[in-house]
Amino acid sequence: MSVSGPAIEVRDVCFSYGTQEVLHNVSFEIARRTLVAVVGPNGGGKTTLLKLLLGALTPRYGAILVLGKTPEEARDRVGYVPQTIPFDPRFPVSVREVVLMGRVGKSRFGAYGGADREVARQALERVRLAAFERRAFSELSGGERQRVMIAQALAGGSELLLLDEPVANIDPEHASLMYELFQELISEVTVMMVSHNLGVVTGHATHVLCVNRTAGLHAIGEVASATFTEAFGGSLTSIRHDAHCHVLDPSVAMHVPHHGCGCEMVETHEGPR
Amino acid sequence: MLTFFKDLVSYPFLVNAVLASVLASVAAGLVGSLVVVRRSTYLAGAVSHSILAGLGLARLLQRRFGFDGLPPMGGAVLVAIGVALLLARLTSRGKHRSDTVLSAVWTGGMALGVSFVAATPGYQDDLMSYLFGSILLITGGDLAWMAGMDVLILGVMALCYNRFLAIAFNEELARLRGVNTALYETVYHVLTALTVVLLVRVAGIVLAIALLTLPAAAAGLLTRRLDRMMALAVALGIGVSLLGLAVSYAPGWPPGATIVEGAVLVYLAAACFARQRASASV
Repeated sequence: MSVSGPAIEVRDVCFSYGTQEVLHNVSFEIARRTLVAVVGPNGGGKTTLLKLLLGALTPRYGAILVLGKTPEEARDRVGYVPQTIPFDPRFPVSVREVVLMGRVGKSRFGAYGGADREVARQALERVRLAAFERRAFSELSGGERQRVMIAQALAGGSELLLLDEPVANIDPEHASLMYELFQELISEVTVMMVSHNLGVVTGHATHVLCVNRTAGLHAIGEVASATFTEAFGGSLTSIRHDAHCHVLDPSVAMHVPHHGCGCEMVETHEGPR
Repeated sequence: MLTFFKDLVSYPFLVNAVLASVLASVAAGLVGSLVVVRRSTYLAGAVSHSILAGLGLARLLQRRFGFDGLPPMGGAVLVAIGVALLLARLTSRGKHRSDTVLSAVWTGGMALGVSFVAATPGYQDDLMSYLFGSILLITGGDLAWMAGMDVLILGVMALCYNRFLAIAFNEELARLRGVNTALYETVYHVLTALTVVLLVRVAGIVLAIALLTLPAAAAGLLTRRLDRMMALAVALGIGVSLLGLAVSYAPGWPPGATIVEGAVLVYLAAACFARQRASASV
């Protein structure tokens, strides 16, 4: 696995849907093996940015390099996990088969080989679901399915994981497990996740990328409520959860300050309306 | 039913019918399972009904213009593949509303077929057999064609099963994982079209969809893996086809309709069993 150079380089990127400009002069650089939280208001361009990084969209101006290559060239080294998986609950597929789909573009015609199955098994171990290998995918909870999808991306040899709101639809206990998992994964891969939950961002990410038509990257130590206010364009109250914070439901903590965790309220910032 | 088994050793047309049932069930079980999990039954319906245009055109060319180079089944195959390629192109990546396109092909194909039949001199009694099937009229040539189709479908499934599964599960993710989804979508559409033509020979245009989907849907209620669903769908298809043939023979019932009625009963039984199993596990 190559580790030289940044994971993502975005230079002066502009993108518009028709005449509506969504991203304007966006530039940032993300180092490898970091956990970057992408925050910003709805319609601010977060999902568009992910699609540009995946090569599903092409910028009108500017340049993007992913793992040192164009997004199209880097596609087989990038794992994408959508917020929700359009999924028929009766679809007949096992957990192992879903993980093996990460190898589908790399495998030869015919059945998966022993090496593919071993990679899938290791990926399931990394997301702590090795015991679920033979179970039906439909039997899993929402959080377990998200972890299986991450295992699929890992099985595909991804060096960069792009996660679109990975904990949006899962319970607090599983969300907590997911964040622990992301922190473990950055010893080997770069993780970039879209999140609306500012409380967990400060507690788990190494960097925050604020996206609201433009984008600004901040190391987590430099993040203040003004950073988020700049991104969201409104008033915000910030609570900095430390690494030992036992808040089980950060989304509640966002609305009810000091929801039993005792973490520090940083400041309330009135931003431009 | 005993009459059927007694006559089976005496009449080659019955042996042909049994072999056709088995061969059709193999194709229907494999492709039908994909059709069911992808919820694309209307694709099969559009292809099966548009086939009438191919059958009618071949007969028109033969009767009115004396052109014998295109037999009715040849016309059906050509139209089915053409329709499959058209549908694959028009419905890929949501370029067009798939239900509208399928409805247009479904009804347009049938309308063309009716027009071709009307323009053909004489009474088209054998075309009527394509509407409701004619398994007892299967020839050795039909069987060879069916066996060839089965080999083709088995070969493609063995090579491309993983890719078909990934696309059926989530097309966007499969594409991002490096699968040429447009190519495999086209292959899937063509395989479905050829399977429908094969089933039309057995059960007719009107009932082919039932043979394609009911055994597969019943199998889908009883297993949670696509490869097992395919195997079970083949077995159920063979079972209901042979039973339908045997039951319909002595009283002279239409075999295609009897086979489909058996498939409906099997599906209902599977649904009851799955429901009981689900309530027992709660």
